[in-house]
Amino acid sequence: MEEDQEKYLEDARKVVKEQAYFMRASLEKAQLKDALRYSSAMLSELKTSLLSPRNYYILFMQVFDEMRILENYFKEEYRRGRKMPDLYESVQHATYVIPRLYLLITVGSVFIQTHEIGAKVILLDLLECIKAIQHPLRGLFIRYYFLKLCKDRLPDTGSEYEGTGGNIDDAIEIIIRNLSEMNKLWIRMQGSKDKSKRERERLDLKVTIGENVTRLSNLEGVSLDTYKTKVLPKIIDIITSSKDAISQTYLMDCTIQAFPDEYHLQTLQELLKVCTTQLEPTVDIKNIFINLMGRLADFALNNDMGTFNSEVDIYSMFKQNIDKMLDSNSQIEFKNLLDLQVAFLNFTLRCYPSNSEYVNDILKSCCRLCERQNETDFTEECQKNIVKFLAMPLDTMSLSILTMNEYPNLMKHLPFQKRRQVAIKICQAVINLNQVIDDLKITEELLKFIQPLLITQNDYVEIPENEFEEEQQLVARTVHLVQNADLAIHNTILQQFIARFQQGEINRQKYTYPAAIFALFRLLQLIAAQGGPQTQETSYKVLFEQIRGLIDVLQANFPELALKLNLNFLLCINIVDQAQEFDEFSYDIGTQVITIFQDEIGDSNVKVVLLNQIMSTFAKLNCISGENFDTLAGNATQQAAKLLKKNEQAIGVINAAHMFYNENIKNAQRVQECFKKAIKIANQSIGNNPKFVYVFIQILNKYFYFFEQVEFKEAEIQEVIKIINEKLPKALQDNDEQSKKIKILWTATQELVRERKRRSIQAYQQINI
Amino acid sequence: MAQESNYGDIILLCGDLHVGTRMQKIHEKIVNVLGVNKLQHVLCTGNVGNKETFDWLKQISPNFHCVRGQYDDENNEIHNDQKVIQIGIWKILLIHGHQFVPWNDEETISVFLKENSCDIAVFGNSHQSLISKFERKYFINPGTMSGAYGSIKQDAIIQPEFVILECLGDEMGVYKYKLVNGELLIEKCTITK
Repeated sequence: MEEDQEKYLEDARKVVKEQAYFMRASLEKAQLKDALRYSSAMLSELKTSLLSPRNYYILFMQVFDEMRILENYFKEEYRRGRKMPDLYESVQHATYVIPRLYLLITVGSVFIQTHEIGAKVILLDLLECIKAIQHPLRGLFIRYYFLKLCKDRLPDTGSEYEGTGGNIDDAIEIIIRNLSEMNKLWIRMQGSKDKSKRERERLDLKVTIGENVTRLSNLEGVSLDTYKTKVLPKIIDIITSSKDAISQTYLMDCTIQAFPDEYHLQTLQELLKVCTTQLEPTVDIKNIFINLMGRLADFALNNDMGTFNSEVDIYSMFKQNIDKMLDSNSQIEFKNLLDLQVAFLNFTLRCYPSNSEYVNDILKSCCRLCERQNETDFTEECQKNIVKFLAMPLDTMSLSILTMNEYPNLMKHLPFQKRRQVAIKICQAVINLNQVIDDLKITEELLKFIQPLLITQNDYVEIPENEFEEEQQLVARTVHLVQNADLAIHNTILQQFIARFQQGEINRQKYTYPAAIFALFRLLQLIAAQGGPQTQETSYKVLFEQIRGLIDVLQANFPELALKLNLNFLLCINIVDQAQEFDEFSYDIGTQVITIFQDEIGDSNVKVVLLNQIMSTFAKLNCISGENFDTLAGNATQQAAKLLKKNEQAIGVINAAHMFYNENIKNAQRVQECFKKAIKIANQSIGNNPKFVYVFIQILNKYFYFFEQVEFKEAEIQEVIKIINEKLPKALQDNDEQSKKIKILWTATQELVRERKRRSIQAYQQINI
Repeated sequence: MAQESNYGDIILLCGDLHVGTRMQKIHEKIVNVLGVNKLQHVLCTGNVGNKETFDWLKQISPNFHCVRGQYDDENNEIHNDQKVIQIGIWKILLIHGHQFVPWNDEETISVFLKENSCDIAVFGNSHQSLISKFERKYFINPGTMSGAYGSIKQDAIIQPEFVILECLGDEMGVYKYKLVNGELLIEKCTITK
């Protein structure tokens, strides 16, 4: 069939080309009669029944272009003095109807331009004549030709044809009649046997109909009032009387597209009523609504919102009509109704940004809609829409959305994966909008909604690890938004979070507990800054115990993390407990740190770094009494002496000195003991490995650190320098990375002494380096 | 990347963000100010937090350096505990600082600087910004870029901070940024090699 179509079109186009050529030749020789004969022959190709609608269109356009040449010639003829009535009459001699009418329209268009006779007279006459073509396809195109040629010859307000030629009412009348007839022909089009193919063929030609509407909208004389009282009612009439879904859909769309949004605002009630009550059931009303809402939202946002709000209650109009659709027994699919609800919610959020009442009302409608459905109706598409529904308001409205009672009702229709998505979106919105979580009721609701992230629900589905980590990080981040000037409330809100965290499993607690712990640290410092706990729940004892409990839970699976958290804990207590009230408690924590270090950390490299942290932390503490602290620091020093490698032991012990000499404590004796021990360890190792001299240099630098505060025997230090000088040559022999480091450090150390000597610092005067 | 060609380079020093465990995000003001393609280098002292934040830091400049903080153990994109970075004639030692005994101590850090032949130590851990000089070496702590809670400072509320360096040959323009009540306050000074 396809190849046949190609051939038919090919043949027809060839004829048109041929006849057009002869027509033009005749015109050049001013042989009008011949030209008319050839043009008739050309136009006769448009009598064909062989072509598909799309191919007919192609042929038509080719003929159209050629007819312009003839039209121009007619214009010239008039200027040369030929009488139009004569011409008008002579073209009617064409034998066949189609060519006759095309020629008549062409002459008519020129005739109007002469102003010898009123525009409307000719136009109405032409309209009468072309009624003769009742074949759908051919009739459609001749009317299309009429429109194209005469559209600039209408007696529009302010045009040259106004007056005796007619007025705006006539112009409207003419186009409406043309539109009405074209619509009828369009609906009657037969084409293929296959229904969907036929529909596609019809849609191929829709622009021919649409141009009528466009022309109407371009008329100068169509003011808002004229549109409201004359144009729109007539268009609606055409739409509703046709009973054809394709036509109704297209004409509604055209009308909405062609006319300005201000007009739609003023006629909205009428439009919506037609859509909901007077269209064929198969028309996709939802798309029309969505189209309208989109345009009106854009319009509202680009213009003064005042007009939007005060003059017409747009929201209510849409709401009433949408609810009507929901409640009617219409066959509109659930999925489509949901699409509509989502679009309506989007519209409302854009045009009435802070109106939570509207949002709640739409929520209610949506809930009502969902209640009526069977579980199987909730396809993937529908679920996606419900997720959108729940998440959209969060981008613009505050967390108070969550307290709307319809919210949970919608969630229950979703499977786990989708509930999880909503939970994630809620957390993201809250974080991105810098929302403050300061209200108990809202917190309760929030926690209900993010439950899919907090605990393993019945319909839980495994999630890939990296996604799991991200979602738990989201929950952790949400905790830090908790804030309230009333610290008792601040605490209560935090406790609500923690209670939920306790119900999660260890794989979640890995992320949620540290966040909760640091939130509690921060709360403690806030309480301290306010002068101390004001309630039982916020007492130091209660909160300290809670933190200890949380860290203990983590310890079994994550000992290193627990150790570090305990160190942070000690530092927090250090700030909060200025009076050593919790001396024993802190001592216990410190002991716990050492225990974990000793029993549960296997990797020796990790141990080195952790021990340094332990010692630096202890060095800061002022919250542990003298004796207790001495025990703790002693334990830590012992641990240093038990590290795997000798150089680590030596350096570890030397670092330990800082625990005994800092802003809180000045125990010179212990410092000296550390140095003695370190030297002893170092001496044990230097024999085998000359590069060990590096450790000696480090020790020496540490001597200089304490030099002006702690007394050291001069001999002790000179001894170290002596050992260094002895072992240095051998150590530098290799000239590798390590040797270079040793050399650089030694040179710098020597420079340090010289510099401090220069600054006349007493202690250094005797040092011989 | 070294030598005179780094003249005019803008370097961001930041760290201790702890997004997730201690803070919800980096403030928009800071994200916007840093923008895209304004920086040539980013030096991060560590303790970044969640993946999203780390990914953001990676792409705001063509040269990203990050060292491991004590809470970065799950991040396998951070490979170093300390790093030496040369920009122009300046050698910078980047290290988180939790490793030192004691913390925040110039003399202790000096030893590390000397054995690596570096001029500036960039470190974090204390959540408190600092720019100082000690025996011809410079010490810069850019603070916490998120305002994360730090156990060392007395205040419960900590302001987000970061430092911008401008490489000017044998000088460095040092700009200390602090976010107070939504506004970015800037203090400027210069250091000379």
